[in-house]
Amino acid sequence: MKAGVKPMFRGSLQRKLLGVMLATAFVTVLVALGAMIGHDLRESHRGWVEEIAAQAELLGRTTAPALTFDDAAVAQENLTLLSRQQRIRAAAIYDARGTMVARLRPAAAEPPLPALPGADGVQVDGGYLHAFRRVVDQNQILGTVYLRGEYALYERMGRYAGIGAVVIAIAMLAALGVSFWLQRLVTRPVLDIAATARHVMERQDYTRRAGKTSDDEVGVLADAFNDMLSEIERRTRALEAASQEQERLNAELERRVQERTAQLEQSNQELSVATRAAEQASRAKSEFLSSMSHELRTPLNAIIGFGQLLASDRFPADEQQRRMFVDHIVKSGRHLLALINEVLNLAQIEAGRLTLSLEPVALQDVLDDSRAMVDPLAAPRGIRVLFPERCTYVVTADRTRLKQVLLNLLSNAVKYNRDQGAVVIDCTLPTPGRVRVSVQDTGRGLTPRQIESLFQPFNRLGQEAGEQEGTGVGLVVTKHLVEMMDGRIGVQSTPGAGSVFWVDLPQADGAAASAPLPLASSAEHKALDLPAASQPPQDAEGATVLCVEDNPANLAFVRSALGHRPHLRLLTATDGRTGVELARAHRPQVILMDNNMPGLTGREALAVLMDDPVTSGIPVIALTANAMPKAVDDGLAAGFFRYLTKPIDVDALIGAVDEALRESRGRGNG
Amino acid sequence: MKRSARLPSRLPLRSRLRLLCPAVLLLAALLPPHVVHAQRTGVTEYAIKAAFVCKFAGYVEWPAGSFEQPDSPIVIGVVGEPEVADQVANAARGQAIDARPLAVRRLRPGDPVDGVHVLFVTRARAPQAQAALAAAQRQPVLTVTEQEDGDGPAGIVNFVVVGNKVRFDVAPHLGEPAELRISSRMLSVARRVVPRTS
Repeated sequence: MKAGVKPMFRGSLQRKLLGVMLATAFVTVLVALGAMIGHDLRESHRGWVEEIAAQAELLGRTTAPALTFDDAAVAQENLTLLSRQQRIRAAAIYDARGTMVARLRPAAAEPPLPALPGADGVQVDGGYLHAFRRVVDQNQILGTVYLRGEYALYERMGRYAGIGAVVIAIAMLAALGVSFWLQRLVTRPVLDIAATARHVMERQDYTRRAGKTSDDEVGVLADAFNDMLSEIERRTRALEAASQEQERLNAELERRVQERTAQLEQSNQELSVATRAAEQASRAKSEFLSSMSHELRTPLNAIIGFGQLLASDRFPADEQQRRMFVDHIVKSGRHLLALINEVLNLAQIEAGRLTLSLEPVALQDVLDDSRAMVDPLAAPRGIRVLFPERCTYVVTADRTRLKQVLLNLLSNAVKYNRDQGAVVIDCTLPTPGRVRVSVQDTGRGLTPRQIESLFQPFNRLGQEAGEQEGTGVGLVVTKHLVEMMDGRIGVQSTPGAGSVFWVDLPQADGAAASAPLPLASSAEHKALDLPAASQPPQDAEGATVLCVEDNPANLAFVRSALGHRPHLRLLTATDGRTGVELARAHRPQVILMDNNMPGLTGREALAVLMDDPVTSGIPVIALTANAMPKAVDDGLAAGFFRYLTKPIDVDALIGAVDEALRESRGRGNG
Repeated sequence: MKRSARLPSRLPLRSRLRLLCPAVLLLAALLPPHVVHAQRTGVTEYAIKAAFVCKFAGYVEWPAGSFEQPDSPIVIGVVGEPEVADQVANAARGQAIDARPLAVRRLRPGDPVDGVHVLFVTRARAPQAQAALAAAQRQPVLTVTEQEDGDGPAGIVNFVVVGNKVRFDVAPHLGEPAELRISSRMLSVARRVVPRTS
């Protein structure tokens, strides 16, 4: 098809031009020739007619004397002269009476002479000119002459046709030549442009340009065509660039989709991991609840059991047995309290409600505090606790919680040690910025499997049946606390030889930072320790103690605890409002206030009492089940003299009351 | 030449006319009347000659001053028998040459020819009219005679009968002295144009 386009295209334009040229030439020549021939023929006709008319006239004039003088011979002689003329085919002369007096006979094949003269004039008939002419002289008609001439118009037309054909043929040839010349001049530049256009179309090659060979319209066409090509080339490039950009964007998009898909998959995996973790946590919680239930029941069992034995009349027991029963009950109760405290700690930690105040803490101070509390535990079993000579490191930690951690580790080391064993405490700097405190014992050690589950709640590692009591929550709380202080806890153990528990903590920047002992904490310890010192009760005569408590059992306990101090008068109220009224009425020296009561709460009652000048000087000791450290601090800030948490330690209660009495008395004196 | 071939014998006119008479009469009886006039009979010879005389005037150019007026008549003088004069008068009646009417005047042999433009002298009167003819030759007058060869001096135009036809010889040089010109067209139909003798 493409091969066929070329000649057709080229042939078309050329053929058209050629056709125009030839047609123009043909028509021009035809019209010119036709006009010339037509004119010529008309002139010939007229010339012939005039000629024969003139000849007839001349003959008439010549013949006039012959007719005048009736001389047929002369008339014939006149006619004979005409016979020399080729064009005159026949002639005759008639006298006035119509008689033919002289004749020039026509050739045999030609029509005969007319017998009688016709009207004046020239007629064309049968390829001849027939001319009649009256001969008039001196107003007399003398006769008529007749001439018959050749009328070669049709012959002449035939000849002209031949000449015309030849002329047209020559003109066509000339036009053909001119056309070829013109083609070079006009057609070729156009064909060049066409060839360029075809090349561009076939190969999509927009860099081709048409050559410009002239400054005429074809040149303008070539320029316009080239401009168009440039424009197309430019646009094609832009399109390609845009297409590439599009592809790049698509690839980018695809890549991002893949990324997102991968992220999504990862999220799904994480989600499934998290789900599994959540399920595991849920399971752990269930297990924890189950374990805790068990742990809580165990000491309660002892308390209730020994309590029943004491209350029963069917099991008479001597004084020694009863003392043993009471010891068991108190010991189990303390154990239960420790357990609840630990669990609450853990719950607080896990709920994220535990807030730490990180500060530089001198390790030596904490170790000294701990030593004071551990030695009493270790001494009965002959266990030696060896502290480092001097530990100068300062760590960033919460002082109270750090002490809790160290006490836990130390009490464990003592608790699970063998009798006459040893506990070695050391503090080192294994890596710059990290201070390690290690506690080594000489116990039975731990198997790797035991270590695995070491930090699970209520896992007492085979100690369940042992004589050493434990909550099974301590290490879990310890681990959480350490991690909250940006520390790490770990253990190395050799079964049969002992274990080393260690804690890494960040070293404080300023080693010189002093670590003042918090007064509140010190005071608390003192408060707790004071009863242990068992100071003798001072002058307590006439003292009145008001106890506001809605729980009758607790009220009975307080009444029993203060019962052995006969000089103390105890007033009781079961709600805050009554308590406030009693306080105003009796102005007691000490008020023991429960917090959670119907009507006024203990805190509100305290506010009322402190607003009243009559009662504002009375020390109020809080007796509350809310043992959270923050609640303790808040309570002390609100104005409570002491803040005792339930279950109430009898010694602590008596100590607080005595102190309050001293305070009240001192204030009253002052 | 052809004429001489066609007319080989030169018999006396009368004897030939006589020979032809019965046939001509017979033919004339059969033919229509106008055709009869065309026949050269003895009776009609002068009629033809009279008609020719009238027509000669059309081929002659007179010198200026020959006519008083543009429409002055051309005067034809006839010296001959009265019948001939009548014939000429008949022929001239109604005829006009170039707007000039023809006037016929009968003359006796001795009469002056002044004012005559054409003078016809019959054969019978020729001997008596020699002087008049000679006088006319000196004037612009077309002289017409019908002399046989050797009969005597002929005029500018001289009728002859050839065969049965009336023909004429013309001697144009005779008119030259008086500036009388004879048309060459008339010469073309003359039997003979008489050359200048001396």
